[in-house]
Amino acid sequence: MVLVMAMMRLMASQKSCLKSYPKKDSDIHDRKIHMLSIKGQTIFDENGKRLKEIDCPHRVTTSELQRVTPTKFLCEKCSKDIIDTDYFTEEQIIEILNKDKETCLKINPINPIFNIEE
Amino acid sequence: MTGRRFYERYADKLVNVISVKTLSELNDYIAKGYKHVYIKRKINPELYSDYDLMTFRNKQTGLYSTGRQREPYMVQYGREISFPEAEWDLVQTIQPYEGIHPETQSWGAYIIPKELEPMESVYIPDLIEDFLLTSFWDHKIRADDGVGIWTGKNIQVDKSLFDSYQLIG
Repeated sequence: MVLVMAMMRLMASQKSCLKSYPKKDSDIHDRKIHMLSIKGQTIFDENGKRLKEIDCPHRVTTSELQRVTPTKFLCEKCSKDIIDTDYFTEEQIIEILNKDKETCLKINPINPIFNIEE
Repeated sequence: MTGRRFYERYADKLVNVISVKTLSELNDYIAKGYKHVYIKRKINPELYSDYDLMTFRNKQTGLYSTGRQREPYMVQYGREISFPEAEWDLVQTIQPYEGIHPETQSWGAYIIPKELEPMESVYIPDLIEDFLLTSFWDHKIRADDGVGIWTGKNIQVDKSLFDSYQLIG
């Protein structure tokens, strides 16, 4: 588990992460690294600290976003960048949100770093 | 690659539609008076992966191995692999299909519950068609389940739900 988490951090911190991949498909589903929880529209860290509300006033969907870099999208509704969390570690996401809670995120529920609670 | 049953929360709220994949099951339901929708399965081009899967053969040992490129790249657990031309012959390159290929399963049928009225919404726990749910890194994820409407003739799957699968804000 520790090794997998370390690898995810390493991969996300390297530019070459886009060429890295889980060795087996099952790895994506089997990893349990839930450091960030999403309850309703709120993201919490593993200590239960509230990090951000996911609440787009325009109800933007993925197909409306324009990718500007491998890790960022542009939302034309607000002319704001949206961070693609697929390519960031839990720590990096926490750091980004601690600096600016208004940062917009795109969160993929299949990403094992998020635990989505019903 | 297939996704989790992400829309299971609709299972208790909507009428559930059963999917069958064998003629004996389908004929059983028909004999019991059920309507059905027969689906001829097709490739969904959106479900081709963003990576190439290459088969190499080692020039010295003759053994085969697979990878994604000749140049060095990282795989899990910190391993870096490469297939330099001096050591490896390229045998084959394919672009993996991450849905369920129609050659594996060419058809399926939705069994329409007897109480279902036209234009009623339904939950489909086992989608027969290949729909793209999302992408993760260079993988494409197939939607396992979904929500649709019984038109009276077909089950129309609500594809807009898949577009809002990822959370944004």
